[in-house]
Amino acid sequence: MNIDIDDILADLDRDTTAVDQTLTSQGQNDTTVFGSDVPGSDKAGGAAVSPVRDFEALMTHWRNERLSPELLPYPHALMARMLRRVQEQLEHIECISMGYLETLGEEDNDAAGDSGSNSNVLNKLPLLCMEADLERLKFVLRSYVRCRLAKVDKYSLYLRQLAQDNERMVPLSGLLSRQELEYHERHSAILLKLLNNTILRHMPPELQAVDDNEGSVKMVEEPEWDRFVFVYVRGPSSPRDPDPALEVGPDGQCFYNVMIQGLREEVELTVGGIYVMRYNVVRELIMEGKVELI
Amino acid sequence: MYGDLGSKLVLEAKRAQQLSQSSGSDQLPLYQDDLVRNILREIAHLKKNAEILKSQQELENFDNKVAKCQYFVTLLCMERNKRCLLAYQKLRSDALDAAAWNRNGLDAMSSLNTAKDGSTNLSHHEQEYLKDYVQLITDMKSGDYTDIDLSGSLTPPSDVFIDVRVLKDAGEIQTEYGVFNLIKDSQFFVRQADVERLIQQGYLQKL
Repeated sequence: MNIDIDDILADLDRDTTAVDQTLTSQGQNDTTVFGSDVPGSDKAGGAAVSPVRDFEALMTHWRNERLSPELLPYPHALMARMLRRVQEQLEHIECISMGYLETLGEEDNDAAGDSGSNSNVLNKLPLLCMEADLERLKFVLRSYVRCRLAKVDKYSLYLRQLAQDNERMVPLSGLLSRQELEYHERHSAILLKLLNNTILRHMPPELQAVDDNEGSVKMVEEPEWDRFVFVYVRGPSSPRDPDPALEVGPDGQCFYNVMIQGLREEVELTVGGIYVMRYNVVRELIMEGKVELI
Repeated sequence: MYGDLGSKLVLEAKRAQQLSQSSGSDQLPLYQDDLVRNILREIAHLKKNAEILKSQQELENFDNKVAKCQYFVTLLCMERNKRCLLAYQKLRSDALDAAAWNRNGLDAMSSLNTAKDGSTNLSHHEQEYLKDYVQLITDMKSGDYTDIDLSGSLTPPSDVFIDVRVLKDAGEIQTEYGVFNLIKDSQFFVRQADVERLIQQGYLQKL
């Protein structure tokens, strides 16, 4: 066994570039299929779709979702692309491990000038890397979806109230995915059934509501709007299109002005800086993707 | 005294919460059927009192401040009792939710449903709720999220392959890398994704 580390590295390089190419071509497909789906709903909003940028956007969404007190809008197009890529990658790995790409592997071996006994090792290592990578992506997606479902449960009544409120800018179907809507619907139905059967049914009629805000204590739990969060100011998504809200200070530094209502105080958020703020102060900027939660 | 039963129920809920936190298991104590029923009875009683007080006030043209206060406190008591009841039930249903996610479906039902002496700690309605919720989770997992395995582990994966020790005999399992015969106390080096389920069900332990 004389495996040269260079050979393995070369093989890895070839493999990753190959994957990149296939993914890029998929990315181009995506623009045609999903590009016009929900304009501006993604962080990338308008910029060209690429797997790398999608992954970064997903990580941002994931962090924001886990740290924000409220349920953030669901990135429909991004998640659809991500889920599709996971499926394709699964099939890809399946193909390689089953040996359907045998011919490709042999070429690689010839190029690397290795004997047949090494081919097994050389094929397995990139495969292992790809599998590890896929597992990580699956974990992020899983964690993201579960985090959202937990919030759907927590703010179940609040979301229901939002749905009845017609003056909202974003409809509930934009905030939640189709699956989340269904989950919300069904879970609150069975929970209400349980509460009704055990308690509410036996109460006097005026005490039977579960979303009564008139009493001494509000029954509908709202997100904690003024919770403190750590934020990183990212600046506009691309330097080419200037942001009207962005101001340039005398020393050439770019910053956003935000108003803290309670204190009647203006604060400058310098691009690249890290701040601790109340959530409702920076909420708008988070929605626009100019500021990230960390 | 009015409200005493409510506090008792809240204490009971608190106890259940601490129990599950300290032991780390999804066990729920016995459903306090009697207590809940007594509180409901107390609410009905309070309701009757409130009505009497109200009619008295109408006779006295609403200028008796003491009676007014009495009426108000009665209403508050009713509301408080309701909150206690709902909080108790919500805590239990949340625990059921967690159990349904952590242990896959039917497993959670069987372990929660049958306590040691064969009786159940859940009320009839709670059993029904658990069944519905498990069904809901199963439906969520099939659909679009099949590939990412929603009920999988929520700790970030470190390696594709891990060492596991077998805690209970589980027979043979078939994976891409061959067949493993899971005999108690033996040790294997396997792909994490393949044995995730068995770890959750308590057959294997990650080393």
